[in-house]
Amino acid sequence: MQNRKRKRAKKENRVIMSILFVVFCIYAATLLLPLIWMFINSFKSNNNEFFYEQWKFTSFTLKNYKLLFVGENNIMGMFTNTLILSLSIPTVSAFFSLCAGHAVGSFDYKLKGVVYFIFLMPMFVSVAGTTPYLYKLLNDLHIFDTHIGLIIMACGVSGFGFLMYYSVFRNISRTYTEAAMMDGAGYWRTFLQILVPQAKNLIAAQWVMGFIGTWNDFAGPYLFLPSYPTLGVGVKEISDNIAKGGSYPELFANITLMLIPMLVLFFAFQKKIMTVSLGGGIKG
Amino acid sequence: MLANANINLRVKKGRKNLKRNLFIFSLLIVPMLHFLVFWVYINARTISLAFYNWNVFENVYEFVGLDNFKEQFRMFKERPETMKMFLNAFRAIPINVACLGMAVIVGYAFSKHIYGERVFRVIFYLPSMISIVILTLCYRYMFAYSPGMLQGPAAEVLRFLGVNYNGWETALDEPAVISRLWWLVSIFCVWASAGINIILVSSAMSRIPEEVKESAKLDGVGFWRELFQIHIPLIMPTISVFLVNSMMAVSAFYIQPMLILGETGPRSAYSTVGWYMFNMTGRAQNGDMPLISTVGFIMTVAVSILVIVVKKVTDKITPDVDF
Repeated sequence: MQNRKRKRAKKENRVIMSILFVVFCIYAATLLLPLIWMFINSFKSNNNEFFYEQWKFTSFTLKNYKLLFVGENNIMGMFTNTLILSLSIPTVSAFFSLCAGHAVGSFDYKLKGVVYFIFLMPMFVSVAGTTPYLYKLLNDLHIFDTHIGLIIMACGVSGFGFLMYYSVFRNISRTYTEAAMMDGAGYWRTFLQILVPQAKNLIAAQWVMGFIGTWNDFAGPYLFLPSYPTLGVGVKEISDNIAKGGSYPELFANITLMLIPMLVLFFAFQKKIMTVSLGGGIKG
Repeated sequence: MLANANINLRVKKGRKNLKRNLFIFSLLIVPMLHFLVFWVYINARTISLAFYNWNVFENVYEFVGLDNFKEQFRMFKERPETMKMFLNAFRAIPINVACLGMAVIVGYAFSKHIYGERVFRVIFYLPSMISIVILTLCYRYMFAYSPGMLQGPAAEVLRFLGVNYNGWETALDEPAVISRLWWLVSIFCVWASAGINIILVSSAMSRIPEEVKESAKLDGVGFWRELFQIHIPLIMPTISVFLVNSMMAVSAFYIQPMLILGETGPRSAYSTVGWYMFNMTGRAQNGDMPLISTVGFIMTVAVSILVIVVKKVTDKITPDVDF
């Protein structure tokens, strides 16, 4: 009886798994094919060629890629802007998260609970409709439309990153600090040379995630950095021009250029990225 | 002599404490300032202006109590289309639940080591690496249908299957078109959301002890029963966190409809609270601020209530097990 039931369950399992396999294949195809489609068509010389043969290399021209650099789109400027933000934002955010994690995780003092609570607040309370005020504030501080403005906004400690670093520092034995201090190292030196390196895997993974997030960000630079378009904003602008007779292949070349660094990063750090998005194994 | 040494020690300790406190202070000063300016100030300003009105003649904000809310609710009654942007924002909830459903099924299949699991894992994560601008563009062109011009592959497939599909922009205010376009946006959200959700769910499932799964297998528990009676209850904490987060995301739901339907302009049939805020950013004058705050406040209250309810309900149905 039990045996038959088990057999039936096994058979059922196999059937459903096969169906799921087919569904997964289709889903994977819908994720990959559009990218391949854009890539192929970024080598077409004009719109007409693209409209009639969407899946074949009917012509192969690097014209679109060249146009990106010499044309009026100023892609080098966009590239630089994106790179400046993507390099600096995860760096300052990691640094201040580490500071906060260290301050709350490694010392005992009276207000510690309050500080801990404060850094978690943004995780639990989110007020709608703050961006218009943020815009005004940035204007009043004269950091609107500057890279510095976006970087300053990233200096905060967000709930999740803070929790991660906090738990790292809490788990580092305090004998390390004591030994280093005994040898005459100051607090800053102990922090930066002894403690931070112990979290370097986590920092690296977080940093890469931050880099990717900033690289792909649209709303932030669009709203607060209008004079210095990033690649994402640029792609949006070029695509808006298409309705007025712009060229699809050129847009696809632009998209490909924006995608390549991400794909390279992804395949280089695939394992790390995929584990850090779990939130470093926080139980839940 | 001894007393002297003692005092010396105390002074030293005091100095050390001072040094330590200074260090902690220097670690916290920037994050704290940031918190005060970008969280406390901004939020307080946003909320408080819901109770003020801009006096054009004297160029000051005047306290008006609950008048803004009364006005807003009167508007809801008289011009129901002002409600639309709130209702549209809440479309994010069923969409997020659908995303979760997909993540659970995919994660479950992964935990059962479906054939090709590793390849699927990598491919399914891909959308999380790609800018939302590119994803939405991709999606729009796939479904574009303008004869003689771009006929996107997905549109071709639909037409091949016999669906009467005519592309994006036709009679935008017709109810049938509105619901179709919202479907396209919802499908996009689910399609593009897979990556991180799947990883979250499947890692939660991988923490379920092997013995539990093994004993289920020995008892001959079927595929769906194992999913609903073993896996889902045991990953309930993860699901709860996900649901709470997706409730909080309601007020920030705009980027997908905006980028997919953007050319239609912010029409009431498609606008969300988030989209409204995005549009008002940089454009809003002093006089607009109270309205923005009122809308934001109503949304914040609605979302907070939802979050508390969801938290309570999921806590109740979470089995009390530890592993």
